[in-house]
Amino acid sequence: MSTMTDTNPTDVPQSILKSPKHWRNRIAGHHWRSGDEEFDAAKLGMWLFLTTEVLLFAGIFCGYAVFRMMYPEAWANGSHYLDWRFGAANTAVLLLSSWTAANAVRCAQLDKQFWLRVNIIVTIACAALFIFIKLKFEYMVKLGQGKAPGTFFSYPHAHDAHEPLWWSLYYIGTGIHALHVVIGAALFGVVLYYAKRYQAYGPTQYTLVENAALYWHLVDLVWIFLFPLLYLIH
Amino acid sequence: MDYTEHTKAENVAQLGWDPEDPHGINPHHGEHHHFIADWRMQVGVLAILLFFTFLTVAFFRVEVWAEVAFGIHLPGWVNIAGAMSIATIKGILVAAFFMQLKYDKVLNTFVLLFCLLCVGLFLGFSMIDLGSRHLVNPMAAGEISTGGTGVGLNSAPADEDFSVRMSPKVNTQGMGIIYEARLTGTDNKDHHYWGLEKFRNDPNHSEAEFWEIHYGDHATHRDPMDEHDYFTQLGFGHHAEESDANKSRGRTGMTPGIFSDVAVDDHGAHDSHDDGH
Amino acid sequence: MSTLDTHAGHHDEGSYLSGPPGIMAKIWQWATTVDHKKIGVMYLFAVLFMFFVGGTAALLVRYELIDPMRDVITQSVNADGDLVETTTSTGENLRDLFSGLGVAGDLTGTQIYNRAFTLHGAVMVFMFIVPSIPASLGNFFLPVMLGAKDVAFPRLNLLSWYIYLFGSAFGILSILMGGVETGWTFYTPYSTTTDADHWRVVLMVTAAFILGFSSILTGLNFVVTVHKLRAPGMGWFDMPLFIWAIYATSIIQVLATPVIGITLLLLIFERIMNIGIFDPAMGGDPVLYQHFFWFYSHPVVYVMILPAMGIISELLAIHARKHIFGYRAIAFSSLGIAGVSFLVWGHHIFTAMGELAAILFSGLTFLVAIPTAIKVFNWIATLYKGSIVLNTPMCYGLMFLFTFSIGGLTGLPLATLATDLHLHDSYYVVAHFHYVMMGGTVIAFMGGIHHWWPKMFGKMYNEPGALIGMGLVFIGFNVTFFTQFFLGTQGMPRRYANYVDEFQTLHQISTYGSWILGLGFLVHLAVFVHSLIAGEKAPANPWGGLTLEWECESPPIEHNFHHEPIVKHGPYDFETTVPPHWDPKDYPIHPDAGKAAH
Repeated sequence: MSTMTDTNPTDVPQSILKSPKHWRNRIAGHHWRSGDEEFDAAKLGMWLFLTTEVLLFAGIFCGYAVFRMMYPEAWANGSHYLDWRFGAANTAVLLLSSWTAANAVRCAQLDKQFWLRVNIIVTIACAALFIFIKLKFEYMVKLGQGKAPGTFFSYPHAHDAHEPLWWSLYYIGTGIHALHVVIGAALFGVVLYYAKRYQAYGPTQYTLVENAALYWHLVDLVWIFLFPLLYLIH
Repeated sequence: MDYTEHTKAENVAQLGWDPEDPHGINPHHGEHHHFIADWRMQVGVLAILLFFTFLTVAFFRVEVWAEVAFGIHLPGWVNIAGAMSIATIKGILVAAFFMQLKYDKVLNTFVLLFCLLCVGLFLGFSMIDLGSRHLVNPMAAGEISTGGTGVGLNSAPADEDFSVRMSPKVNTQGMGIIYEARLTGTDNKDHHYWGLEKFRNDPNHSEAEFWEIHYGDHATHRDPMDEHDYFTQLGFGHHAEESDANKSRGRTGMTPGIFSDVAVDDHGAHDSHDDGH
Repeated sequence: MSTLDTHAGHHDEGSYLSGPPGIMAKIWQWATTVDHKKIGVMYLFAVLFMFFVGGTAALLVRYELIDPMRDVITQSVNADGDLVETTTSTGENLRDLFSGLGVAGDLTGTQIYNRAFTLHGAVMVFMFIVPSIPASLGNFFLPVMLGAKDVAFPRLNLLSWYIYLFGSAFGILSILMGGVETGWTFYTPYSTTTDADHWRVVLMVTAAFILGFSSILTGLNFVVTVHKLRAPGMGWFDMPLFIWAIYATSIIQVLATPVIGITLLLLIFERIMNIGIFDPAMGGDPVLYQHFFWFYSHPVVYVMILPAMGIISELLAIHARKHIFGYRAIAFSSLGIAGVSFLVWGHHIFTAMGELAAILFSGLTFLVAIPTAIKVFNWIATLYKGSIVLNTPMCYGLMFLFTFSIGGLTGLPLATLATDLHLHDSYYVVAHFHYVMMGGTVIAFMGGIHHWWPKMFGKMYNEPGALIGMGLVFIGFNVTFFTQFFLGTQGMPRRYANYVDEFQTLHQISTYGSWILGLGFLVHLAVFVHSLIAGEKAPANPWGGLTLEWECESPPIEHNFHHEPIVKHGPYDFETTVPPHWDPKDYPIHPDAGKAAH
């Protein structure tokens, strides 16, 4: 174990090392047979939760597919209103953050406390950047032009009657996705707090890091599909 | 069923239950099972993902360019198949390596695949219905009936306060937004938007340069009736007819007359439907 | 069944019901508990309260329908000798009732009726029947039957309970503000256009949205518990069939509920912002809403019925003291129903759909009958040559077989496209649905409550009293709903407050039946209250069950088991096993029991 660590436990204050929240001191819940079982269960639970997220977004994808089938022109116009540069930039940002999230798990597994925190901070920063690009260059600009959902639509140069519907799906799809980005960042914020305050995550106890990362990868996965659907397919 | 001591012992072993440590008091129990990813692999996966992002954008750009420059109009499925297969590859990479499904228990992969099966059923059957209304019984492909909120593109756009249908931003005098735009000519590209007007009036740039920028991303989104349209002038217009705001694909789903007591006017005001029978 | 003495034994522990002294301390203990048994009991009382609310609304609906609305013209001669005609409206029973109470406002009789049936449907579906068996009996008995100390994620379990309360609060708020008229399905455009004060609709939809999260978390918890917390020695096919049913239910809950989440979210956006996805004037499609809605709501009727089937498997085997017939067939048919449930939602929208999709869905719908019939045949075969004890749980089990079979078989004409054109949206559908949901789920739930009541509260109930209640429920239920098959086939449409005079006799019979039904449930309520106050102490194993919950004390201790249980026999091996805590004066057991080599 000691060969894996990059922080000498003697450098860590005794208050942290003695804390019941420190990863060395954590034991499995009373109803578990082993910590391993508990970890597997938490991961299975997270995967089941991720399926619910996938099916939540399935509603958006279903609406997209059905209306694209019914109004192909409006959908073609819609994707041309969006600038692929912002979509691609956001894709790169999310892929990068997914990588740092995966690295965070790795650092926890290897007890690299400093790099664990760095990776989490970069992930949160990427989340903020994603939201910033989304709001500043996309939502604000487009809403200002009247490209709003449904009956709020007041863009005078529309070419198809069903473009407001396209904007409805655009705002709901990206909006719910952005909400997930915020939730994921908040989750990593919690992880960061416990990692800094208690060094709560290490080789034998990193369930929350793992699950937060899984959640973050799912947010990334959804965007991987939303990006071509909204920006590239016409 | 045979309940033999033999099978019981196997079951006990399968559950990973340790009679020496039945409640996992030892926190280091079984830690060596966990897979720790190689950082070189992680970097490699990230690089591949970024490359595929570049690829899918390049594919899209080439397609637009071919259309704008040479008028080559690829069929829609090429675009969809290209973008979605790249997205699927990226998704598999993220799931297999970042989410570590490749190294994880098979059960988790199974959970994900079963969920995707459900997504497929959901999309598939909904699309079968909505795409096949007119196939069996042509009578089902009728004109759309008024209904719902009675608010649509034939009524003036709403503003932040959804009860007000007249937007101060674009006052359409109660007309539908597209109809009004056509009537008053605000959809004429001369009064254009996007802050490009300044650019256009700038003598340092040519007219062609302006349209190049303007249509760079909007090659298929242009109005062939518009004589100012640069590409129409060049003879690349391919939109045979203008889309009509008041037309839509025939669909059933709303019994004609069931909402006949919903009075729809241009302002979208309507009487609440009395549900009493 | 043997137990292994480990150092984790808790010999000094009291029952889970014993708390700290002081009422406030007790309330605090229950409000913050992560014990699955306490959460299950709280769910039990909550869903029974919701059943009472929804049942009251049902009685109001039947009260309105006891006579049609008529304009009665009376001719009389006044003092001057002139003929005077006076017109009085009769039959607006609910309006008269609520005017008498001073709460009718300026609502018409039909509006009040619409609100009453929406209240009944929404409360019964979202707040009662979906959480009923899984969240109450499932929460209590799933870990115990698996030999676990708790569910996999106890704090998540508590969270799901509070989400349930939170969501229900939204629903109740909407009801107190006047209720909604959309029907429990919230079909657009009803839900986007009716009711000038749209916040009531938004609140009710939000309630259903929030309750969905509670359902998801419970289901997720159960799936993981079944996978990870089975006792040593319990393989997949050593699990009681109730667990199999709850497992299949939980899979549906996890996979189907998110779709209702996004559906209701879109509906709220549609209502507040007119986004147009379900609005034909904007190019949207109201039938798309129905697809979204039923993708959840059809699987969810199996969330309602599958746990009931699980209970019936337990009841019939234990009270007939017979090994369940076709264990694996019943277990796999539970999973089969869960799988098929995602393929058949279109049969709710036959008349709104295109023909091609309707044909597909009709064919797939018939598949549901196969696993369901497998279960029914296996239950009947289980009873054959069993030592049947006609106590309340068993009687409810038999009643389930009777009413659920009627409900299931009457579903087939609805799955057939041609007959469905005649029967859809009629009282035939109402009767079919209630025979399955009430004659299935509620009946099995009642049987399950009686079966496990001694275990949950450590008190026996009054058997004759409960049998009287059971009899009243049986008679009342069939009188209420069997008549509705006739009403429906004759053309009485559902959700109408008014009808032609020819239907009045059948409607009256149905309403009288609902009163008998209500009386039956009141008798049960009295029996339960009597049992809690003055019931005699229950033995640990009053029925001679072999599943692990009968290994516990009645009521169970805080950590369920004194020792880690190790499973050495199947859950239904009555012929070969002496039940735990067996007392010869309680019940006879199989003469060969205990002779097997254990």
